[in-house]
Amino acid sequence: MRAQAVVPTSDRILAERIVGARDESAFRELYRRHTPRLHQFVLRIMGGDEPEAEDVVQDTWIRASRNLGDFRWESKFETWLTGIGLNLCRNRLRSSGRWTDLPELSLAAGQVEHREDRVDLERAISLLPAGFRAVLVLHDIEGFKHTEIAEQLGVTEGTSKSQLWSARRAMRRMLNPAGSEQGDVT
Amino acid sequence: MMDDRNEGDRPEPVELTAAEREALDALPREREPGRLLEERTVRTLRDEGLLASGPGRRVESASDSGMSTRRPWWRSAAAIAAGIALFAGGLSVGQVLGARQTADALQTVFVGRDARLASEVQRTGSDYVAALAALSEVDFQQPADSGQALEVALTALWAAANEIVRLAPDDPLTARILQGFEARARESNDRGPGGQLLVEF
Repeated sequence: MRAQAVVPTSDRILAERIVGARDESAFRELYRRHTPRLHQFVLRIMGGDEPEAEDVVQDTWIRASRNLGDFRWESKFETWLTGIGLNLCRNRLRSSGRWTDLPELSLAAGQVEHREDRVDLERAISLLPAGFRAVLVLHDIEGFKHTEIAEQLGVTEGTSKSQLWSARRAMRRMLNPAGSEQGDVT
Repeated sequence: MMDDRNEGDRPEPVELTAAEREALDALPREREPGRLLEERTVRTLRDEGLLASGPGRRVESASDSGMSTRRPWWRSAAAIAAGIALFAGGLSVGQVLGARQTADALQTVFVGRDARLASEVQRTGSDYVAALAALSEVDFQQPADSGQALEVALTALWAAANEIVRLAPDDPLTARILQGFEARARESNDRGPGGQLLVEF
């Protein structure tokens, strides 16, 4: 007997089963496939607040499920989901006064408040102002291009670039508060 | 600390060093949320009518195994019984369950179904709590022994809570128990691989 390769059901087929038949097992499969990545992303954008990140992940899936029938599959499902998650993070951060729209975010890199002498990379990212953090996570961790970030955040490409540089500079100074520009990374 | 640029200047590109790039690449890209979140999300979607509800829905993912994915009713019954047994008596470990109340509750829940199975599960739950009570009386000579006993007891509690959350995702007591376990597991993970507390069934 020949071994049969197990091919995972595509996101699109699972989505069609959810929309067409309200199929719970299809939803669970899609959820389990994408949630670990979504959760890690949202957790970073929210600055490491685990309960808040879980709330955002749940809201992301609810919003995605409501709009699944309208998704045109011109981008990857994962990218679409990340975009929804990012918007929800932004709304939540904005409503609690923790998000400043990027064009207004002119905080000098060295002015990021932190009291520790030296922090590790994950902590440094979480200490960045939310707008800086979002651009840095999207570009340097998730691999989005500036054009995509600009579209997601509703800013120009130039703004995305300048905020990334400010974010990197701030991160570097937190990692090496002694003053070296070429900070060690732990 | 002041920035070394004049306000309004066009910022200079800041490129990542090789070490920074490597460190960013090494950051984890995935993180499992608590099990509770999936159940909570599914429940909300059912309530909104976006997922089918009712006895015919499939609970397990088809990719989990090649076996039938429908959850048999008796497993839910067993979970209810185990939950009742554990939590009815669990608040006062050292006493052998409020057996009468638990048995009465089970009779009510399972009347006309498989009362024998329910009763068996209830007895097992009672035995478990009694064993815990006996364990708590033991004077351990080695601290490691009491640690292992605690681990076993917590693992059983964790497994029971996981079953209950499938039946009642919004139950606040179960939610708090599982959140406690998740917080503890995260702390253990942060301490490194040697710090893992729970052994999954």
